[in-house]
Amino acid sequence: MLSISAIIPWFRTDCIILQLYVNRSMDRDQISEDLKTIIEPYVIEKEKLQTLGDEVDLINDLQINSAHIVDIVLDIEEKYDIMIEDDAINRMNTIGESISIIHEKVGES
Amino acid sequence: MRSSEIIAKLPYKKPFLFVDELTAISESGVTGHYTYQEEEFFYAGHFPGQPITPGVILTETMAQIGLVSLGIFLISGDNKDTRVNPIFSSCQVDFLNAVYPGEKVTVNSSKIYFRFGKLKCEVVMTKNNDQVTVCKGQLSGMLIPKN
Repeated sequence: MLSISAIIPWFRTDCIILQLYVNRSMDRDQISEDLKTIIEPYVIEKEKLQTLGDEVDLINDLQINSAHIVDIVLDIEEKYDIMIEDDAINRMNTIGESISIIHEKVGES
Repeated sequence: MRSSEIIAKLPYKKPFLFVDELTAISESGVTGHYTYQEEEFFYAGHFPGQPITPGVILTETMAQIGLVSLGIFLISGDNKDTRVNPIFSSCQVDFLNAVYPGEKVTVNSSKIYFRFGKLKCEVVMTKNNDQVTVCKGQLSGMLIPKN
């Protein structure tokens, strides 16, 4: 028969996993909100910011001048106190990819 | 790298080269000058009988000295064969005084950042031995190395 002391560690582990999952998803939502604020000055058609799905492409959909992608990256670096390298900027084509890179870098720091 | 070596690498030729000499250049900025000749092509139309250097030409001069020359210096290092394609991406310039045919202007550019191939600078143009500010603002561009 399983004693209560044997159940507790299992229960705790589940709680921690659940907690990690909640934190992770909250982080992505928070990053998504922050990102919207950061890119806003560089988007001419502001109504496009209303529906900002992960698949939205910064250059092709939001028509951000490619040189302004650099300004956005510098703003992101300052906001999160992280360093984004050349290979990472080349992978930041969509909103979803940008959130993933920020999430990854914030996790490393 | 010397002034003449950088000017030789600029992709412009007359009548669209607006750099005579670079007097100082470093990782943090550049100073150079240009004298607008009486016979520059644009004076005939801007304006007939009342020649004034166009604001776009002043901006171009700021960009050629302040962004492209500095960019070539930053990107080349010791490699004498480096050639770049400059792409002007944005500028915000305020014009304070006019420049007339025959006047010499000095451009002073301070680097704000150079990251991911984008150079952004704070640039000021003066005349009459720095006594008069002609225009000032922020300019940026991308430098794409050419093979």
